[in-house]
Amino acid sequence: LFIVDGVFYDNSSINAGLNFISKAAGQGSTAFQDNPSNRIADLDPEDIDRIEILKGASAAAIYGSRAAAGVVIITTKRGKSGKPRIELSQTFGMQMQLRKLGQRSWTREKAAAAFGAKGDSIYQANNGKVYDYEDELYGEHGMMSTSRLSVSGGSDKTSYYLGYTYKDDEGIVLGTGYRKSSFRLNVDQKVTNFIDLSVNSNYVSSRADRGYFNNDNTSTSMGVSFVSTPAWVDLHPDANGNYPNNPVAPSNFLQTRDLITNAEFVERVLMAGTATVKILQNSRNNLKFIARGGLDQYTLNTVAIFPQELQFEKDGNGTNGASIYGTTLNKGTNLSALLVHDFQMNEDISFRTQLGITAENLNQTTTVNTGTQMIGTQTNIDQAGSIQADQEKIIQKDRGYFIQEEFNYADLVLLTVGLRADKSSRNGDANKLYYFPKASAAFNVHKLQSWSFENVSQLKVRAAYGQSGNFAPFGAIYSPLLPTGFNGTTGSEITLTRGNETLKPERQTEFETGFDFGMFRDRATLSFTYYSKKVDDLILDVVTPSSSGFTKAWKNVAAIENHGLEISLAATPVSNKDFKWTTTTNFWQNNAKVTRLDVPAFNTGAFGATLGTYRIEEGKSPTQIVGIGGPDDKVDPATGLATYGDGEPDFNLSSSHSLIYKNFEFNVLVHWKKGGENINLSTLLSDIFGTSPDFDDHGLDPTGQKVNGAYRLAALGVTARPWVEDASYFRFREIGLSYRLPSSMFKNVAQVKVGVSGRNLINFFKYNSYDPEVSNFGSNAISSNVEVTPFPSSKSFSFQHHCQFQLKSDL
Amino acid sequence: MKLTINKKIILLFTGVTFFTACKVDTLNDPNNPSSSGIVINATLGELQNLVTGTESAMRESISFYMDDVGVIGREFYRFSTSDPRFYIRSVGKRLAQCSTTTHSTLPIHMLRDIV
Repeated sequence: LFIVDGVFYDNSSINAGLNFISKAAGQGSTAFQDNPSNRIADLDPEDIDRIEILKGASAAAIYGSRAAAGVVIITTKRGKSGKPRIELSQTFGMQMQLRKLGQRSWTREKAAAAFGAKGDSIYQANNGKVYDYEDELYGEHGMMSTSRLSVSGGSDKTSYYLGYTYKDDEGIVLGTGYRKSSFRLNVDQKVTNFIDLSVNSNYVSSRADRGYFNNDNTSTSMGVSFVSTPAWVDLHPDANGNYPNNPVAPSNFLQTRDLITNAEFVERVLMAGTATVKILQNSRNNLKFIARGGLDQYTLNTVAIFPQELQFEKDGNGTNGASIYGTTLNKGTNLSALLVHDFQMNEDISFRTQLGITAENLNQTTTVNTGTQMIGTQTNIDQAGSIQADQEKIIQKDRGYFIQEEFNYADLVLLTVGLRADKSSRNGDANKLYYFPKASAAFNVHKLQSWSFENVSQLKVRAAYGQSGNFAPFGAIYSPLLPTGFNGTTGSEITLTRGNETLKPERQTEFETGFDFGMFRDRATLSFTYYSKKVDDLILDVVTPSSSGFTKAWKNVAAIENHGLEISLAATPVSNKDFKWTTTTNFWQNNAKVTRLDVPAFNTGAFGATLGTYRIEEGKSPTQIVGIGGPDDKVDPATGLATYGDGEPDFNLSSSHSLIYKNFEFNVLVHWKKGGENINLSTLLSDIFGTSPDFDDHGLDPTGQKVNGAYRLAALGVTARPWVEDASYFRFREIGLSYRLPSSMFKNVAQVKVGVSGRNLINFFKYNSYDPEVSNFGSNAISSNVEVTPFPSSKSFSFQHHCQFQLKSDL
Repeated sequence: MKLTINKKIILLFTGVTFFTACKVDTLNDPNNPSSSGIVINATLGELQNLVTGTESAMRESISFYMDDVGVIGREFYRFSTSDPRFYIRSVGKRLAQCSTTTHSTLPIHMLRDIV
């Protein structure tokens, strides 16, 4: 959950209807693989003032069940009273493919072995000429630019912040890119001496051109077509711009790239307001009433146009052109009201009581119209011989109540107890309240009067316990009758997944304990946390006996236990007049186990046990990757499956450093992910077509006999091992160097900074593809870490300049 | 004086918010008719819809069904270029037997009908 200035920020991923072309969900699979973008991308990072992350029960206590998995609270910049401050900045840069895989070196024999007599004749006809299609398809150097203006200031009663950003980025594939305008106005006003008002507004307009990649079952996506095409096939258009048909695959990816449109248009308005009313204030009591409201409204239009001259649309290969127009209208509102009472009993003892109610509503409608048998080059939906329409609504209403009591004894002992009650229309019983308690205690040892360690500036010991709830997924309580048609009549047909009207929310119980340790006036701090989190009554759609008339059913059937460690070390090792070095290092690690499963163990996610799949099994990790196995694998005789890995990494480590020397500043952020496996099916597809860059290399076969491509192909149907790969990586996420020009150069009116920076410039990983950070199935918790010919990741570098003017007199 | 006015405002606000916030109406499926609605006292029209639905359901997966039984019966070989599992999961290949374990995507009931 993302909350931006008190607005519940919708981050839905909405499909554009590409499945009609790709059939990626088909042949019985219902997992859409449209690679929808996530709407958190609409937020302008330049507007952000600070980000706070609240976890589990402590987040849910205030923000309700939607925050049970944690909440990212983003606060945007606000004006400060004073003279107007103007900031102007621009960034220019370039992005390119992060890692090139290269291509297989071909000979006539190899072409004949992979594509038979046809391959042999094409190879000969071209005299063995090869093209670098990786460079042609993914080798663009996309120009990126961001321009930004902000003005802020205020008087003692009013303050304002105004920000405008225009961003225009080209992608690494011709025709892809992202363009965005964002405007923000934040105003704070002291209305009377007891009422403060604060209003935020944000308007975003964006266009994303997304190409057509990832998994499909029609060999039409550019990714699949690319790996199906050997380098000796000529796909280039003739002098008149006519593209040849790909002789060895159903689509010509250069033609697809140049002729299709797959764009997303977003118009989004966010508004938030907070009123704080001081009801009572005296030496001991302080009573405040706080009311908050938020609105998040957007229109998302998706446009996917596949003209009829495409190889896979013409001559009976497709539907003679397709125009797919999607419209999503989303409106989310959230309201909350709370009373906060601070009571200072005496010099040492104080209490804070909070009482609040919250309400959230979501209303989202998506309609997708698919026109086929297009009239000539027309793209409008009515210029079609056949139109198919789909509509889906999501409606949700959540209500919650909470009460919380905090006790503070001289900052030495801090205690909190609280209770939250939630109900939601997504639960089986919409009006049943579910109660979630929490309690926490912290002891600031360094505040003891007898504390005598001068160098230790902080020692805090803390523990917290809390429960929170997770609502059922939308629609899980319904057993709908789906529309169908037969013989000119419409009718209703029962769905295959049975809904469950008795679903209750998942209940998460978390215990965490740790300490914060600070030395030398907190110049070096260490924070250590151990947590144990159990999610019970996990809601899953599980296989049900087919005698019930359904294949699957929604049930509260499982429990998962997580244990983990989080360590954070921050320090300023050097600080003097000319030189300052600050650093923060974070380490985190999680282990999960299924502790209860009321149904037999089952496989889920990815593409079945032949190629590696996830398996939910009692006593095992929920992200374990299993598959069929041969004599060399440790196959469990009962299930016929062996375990090959786990999506969960062993640990993550990130470290950021900032070095300031006089006017120079150097920043670096590195990230190390150790362990965790991916299911890499790009190699499977490229092996089948003999196009894998490492096809002729040795290394995989322990006996050293087979080349990698042949080894992997021989494993198909024997073991899933070759497709489960270690996805560890170490990368420099950010490197930046900037220089602050002497302000005397600008008559002391402006502060000007220039700099260069790079993103993902240096990477180390063994993973046999573009990038180990990949997911064919979007953000699904249990089926991520699967890749099927994805859009390659990019790295970038850019140049920035930033000017800040402080006006000397009021405007 | 100030304090009393502002207390009344607070009371009003809290009251209004509380009353509007309390109740959540049970939400029927906004996208489809519900099956529980027709189990008891279905109208003639609703029954006719189900009849049409049944007629349709018996036919709509027929190509899928023919695909599978055709392959299993060795009547044809289906070239599925971007989904090599199609053949494996239907007729098996070496250790990969035709079972629910390998057959991740085929509805179970259909598989039972086939094998």
